[in-house]
Amino acid sequence: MSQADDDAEILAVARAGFIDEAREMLQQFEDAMLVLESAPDDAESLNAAFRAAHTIKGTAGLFGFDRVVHFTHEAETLLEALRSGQRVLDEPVVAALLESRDQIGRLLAELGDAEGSPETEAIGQALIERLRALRGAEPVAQAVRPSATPASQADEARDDDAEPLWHLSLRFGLDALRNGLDPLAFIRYLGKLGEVVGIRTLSDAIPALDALDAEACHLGFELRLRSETTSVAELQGVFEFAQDDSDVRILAPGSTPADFEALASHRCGDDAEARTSLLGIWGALGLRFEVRTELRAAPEAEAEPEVVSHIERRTAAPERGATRRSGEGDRREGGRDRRAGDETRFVRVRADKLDRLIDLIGELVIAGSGTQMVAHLEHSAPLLEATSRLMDLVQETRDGALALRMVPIGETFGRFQRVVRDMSKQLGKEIELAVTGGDTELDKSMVDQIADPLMHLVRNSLDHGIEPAADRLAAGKDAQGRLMLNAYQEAGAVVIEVRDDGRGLARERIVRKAVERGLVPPDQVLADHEVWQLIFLPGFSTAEAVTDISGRGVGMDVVKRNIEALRGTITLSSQEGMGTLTQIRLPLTLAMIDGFLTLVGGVNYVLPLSTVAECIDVPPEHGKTDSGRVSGTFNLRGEVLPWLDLARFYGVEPSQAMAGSRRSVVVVRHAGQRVGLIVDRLLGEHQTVIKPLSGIFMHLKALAGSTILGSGDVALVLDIGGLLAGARANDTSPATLSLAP
Amino acid sequence: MSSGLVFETGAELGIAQAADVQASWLQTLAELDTETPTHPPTLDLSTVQEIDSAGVQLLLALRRALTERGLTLQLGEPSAVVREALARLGLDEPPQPEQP
Repeated sequence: MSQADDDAEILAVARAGFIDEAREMLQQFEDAMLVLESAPDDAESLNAAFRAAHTIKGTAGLFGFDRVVHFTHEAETLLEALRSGQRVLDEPVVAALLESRDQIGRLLAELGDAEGSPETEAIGQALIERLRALRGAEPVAQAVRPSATPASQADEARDDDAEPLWHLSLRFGLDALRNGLDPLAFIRYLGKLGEVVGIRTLSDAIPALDALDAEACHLGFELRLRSETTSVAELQGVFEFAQDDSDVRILAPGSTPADFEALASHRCGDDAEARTSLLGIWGALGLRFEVRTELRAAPEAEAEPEVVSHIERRTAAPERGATRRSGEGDRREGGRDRRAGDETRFVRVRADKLDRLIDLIGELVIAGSGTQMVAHLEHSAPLLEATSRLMDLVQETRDGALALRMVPIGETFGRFQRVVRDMSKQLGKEIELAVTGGDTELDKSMVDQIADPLMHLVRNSLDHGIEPAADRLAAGKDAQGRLMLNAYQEAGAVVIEVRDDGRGLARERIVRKAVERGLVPPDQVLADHEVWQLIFLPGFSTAEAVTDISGRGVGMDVVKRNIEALRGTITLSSQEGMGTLTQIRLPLTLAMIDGFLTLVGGVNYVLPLSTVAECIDVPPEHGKTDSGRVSGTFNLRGEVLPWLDLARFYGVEPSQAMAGSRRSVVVVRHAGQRVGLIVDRLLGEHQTVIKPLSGIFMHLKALAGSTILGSGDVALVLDIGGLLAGARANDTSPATLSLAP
Repeated sequence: MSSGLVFETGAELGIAQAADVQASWLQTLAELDTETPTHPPTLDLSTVQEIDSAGVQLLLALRRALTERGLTLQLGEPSAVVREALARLGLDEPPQPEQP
């Protein structure tokens, strides 16, 4: 595309930005369409959809992605017809526009090759024809006929024999010429879109020759354009680059006198003279209005009253057809454009910059811990005080930096509206999606990676979970099924729930199948939660019919693997006939945690502080009576909890215990369970930056990663989920340990 | 038109030349104010090969300056480029009496 490498690089970056933005726009488009499906009168959503399509087209045009421009233009034109009321928004329109959204997505995915795949091209052609047919189903809007009889409906402003005349009112900013924007060039270009049937150059604003700054622009134009093919969007597109240097108003054919009155008010405000002059110019361009004059008392008593001309608002029609353009005027009026608002509230930052910042803060945390350790060794009170303050700040900085990466999960949930809609149509089921907890925040990278597993779970629920309406009625339920997505924070983790009120999991069938496949011995007695976990075994599928949507026997094991890769866990619970609940539990972030440092057999282990419930002493007799056991149960204030001896679990000598000093039990909780971990020594809180373990350590049990302590020592970060699994696995020979109350 | 004052232009009447042209026209205007012209002043646009909106704006300012002095500006054989630009902007015909 460009000769210079630098240019190519800049272009590549800009292009990636474009694709990002376009995807966001598509999402907004889809959200708006889904709202419109149930509320066709929602003008705000219609505008949002239009804006999204328009933005995609505009930016795609900048990069010369002609296929995207070409197709999006068709969708946009239909949206424009909806906005101007030429076409009624009904189900075929929504369906076609949703499919258009998918098509634009495909085109974006194929940006690399100029030709694109033939299938995409064919789908595109078919869709374009559908969009055009939908648009053409109603007559095209006609030009203003202010002399027509007063209209009872806004539609009556149209007339069959009127011409497709657009009215453009252009004002160029002082810097337009200096910025290389030549109004003459714009007007020449308009001539290519249609025929300029009348134009008036406004010279009133030009200062006297001796006062004129010859490089400043004081020009304005009122012009009439005859075009049957153009659209508001296309005309706006002409002035895309001049946005900051111009105030452009476009009145579509069919605009009402009220629209022109609004335009006159915008241009002239209360200036009676300017208003008269503008109305005169419009008259010269062939516009006919009934002008009502009003006498307005002048501010000073002795002055003559002013005569103010107004266009009679014959129809109290809404401002359809009149399109506002974000020029200077609009912006001053308070930015109702949502995009403009977003731009001021959000800053786009490259993800790698953010990662670098978080890396650095990670190093800062480590260095800070080192300083604190030195302060402890030196027993210097002032230094301790100073480092303590420093660590507080570092901690706040760390939390702030991590929060930068946090995004609400609602956006991901939002995507499922479409999935549920499409799939319930496809399956012939009535399903309602209820989303709660969309504000719950999660690390961006996790949000991205959780989307696929969630999709799988949702599809499973829709396909296998929720029964067809007839079965539901027979079972005494509502014909309409319910799928619920929920998210909330719990003890340093985020829990995501997928719940349906379908038929639930058939315990007998799962067990039968597991036995058939040799996954469990036939006589094994399984607890409910163990049965549900069978579903996550590779190659397990209970669906009797393989459908398009799911049930090919791959998936749940992949889902589980994906979630475990995020240091998360997945659990299922179900009641036959009542529905299924799947819970995904994810750590808040992958990068850093508040840790609780312990020592076991000379090795430092870090527990996530959020999981620690309490610390208690192990009674001295434990070491004597219970030697050799890795795990068992103990009595904590009347409650039986499992315990796990970390030293034995990792096969190291509990050095401190041998020396006779008392060991401690750290009670941790995870996924609603509690377990006691026996450690040699408690070393206290410690901010930890998790460094992933390299591949060769992956076989190590229950480790989430490593971290470097301030002293330079390495500590291992424990994965509580893995430990609990370990505790259960070792739980076959229970030993009871009594704790003193 | 031979004896009237002539406003000069170069081959280009664009934003780059606008300030210079403006200065030269102001000078010519000053001469106008010292003597009573026998002929209407003329603007020679026959040699203009390029014109942009800045040039047009300058023309409009000059026309107004002369109108304020009760004079009409005569355009001397505008080149094709100038005629096209003026036509585009609806400035090629004498101002129509505006409709009431």
